Amino acid sequence: MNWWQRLWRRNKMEEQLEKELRFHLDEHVNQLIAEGHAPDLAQRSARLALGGPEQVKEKCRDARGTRWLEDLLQDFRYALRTLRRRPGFAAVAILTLALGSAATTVMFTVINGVLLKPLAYPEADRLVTLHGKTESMVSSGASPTLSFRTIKAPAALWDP
Amino acid sequence: MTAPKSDLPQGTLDLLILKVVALGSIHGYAIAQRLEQVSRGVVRVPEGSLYPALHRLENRGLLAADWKETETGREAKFYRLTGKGRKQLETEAASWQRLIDAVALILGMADGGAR
Repeated sequence: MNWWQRLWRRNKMEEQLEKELRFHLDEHVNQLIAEGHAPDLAQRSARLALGGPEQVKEKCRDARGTRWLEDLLQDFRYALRTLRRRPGFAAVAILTLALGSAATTVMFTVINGVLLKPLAYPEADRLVTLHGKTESMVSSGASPTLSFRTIKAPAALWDP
Repeated sequence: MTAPKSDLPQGTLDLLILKVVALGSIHGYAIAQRLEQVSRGVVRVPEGSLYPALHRLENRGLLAADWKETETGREAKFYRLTGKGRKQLETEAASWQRLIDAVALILGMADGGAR
């Protein structure tokens, strides 16, 4: 909707620009004729005074700051036309984009779930893993090599 | 009548437009004419740059525009000064005056000597 509104406004702005410059030219011609110039000569010198109408319009568009939007629309339409003409290329491009964003989304979801989100326990950052070690073996988790007494030691000991 | 016309110094067109528009709501062609008359034909107003300048000033919110009928019954785009434009006119006119004074001072130096 917004896209159409802008397009519509652009047409209106172009119309007004045309009307404004036309008014200027006509006024100038009228004045020159009133001063006694021949109509065709007046027409010519008024046009010369203003400069090339397309050039002036282009400069006005630049001044309005809507040029980028017009260029963008033009590029967009050109891209659509080109894609429609080469459906094979379009399919490959779309597939590549789809695969790319899918892969990125999957990676982010995994990393977010595994690494970034805090664990669902209070003070999750204070959880510790205990490893027991004897001369013959290293084990982790609820190790039978860790004596109950050691685990019962003051919590401050386990605080990282 | 055939006295050589000077080109406007860079950046003065905006200031002159603001000044002319400050005198009352006015359309583009009349602005060109007013500038030409007031400067007694000394300054060549580049009509090709007039409209881009008007649109730029309107875009910057220094001018506002409405479509109104002229005395001849045609619709024309009339520009008027906004509050922001009035402020801009004051500051630019002041700095222009300072520049003129400074240049005049320097040019007058030869007569007065270095005191």
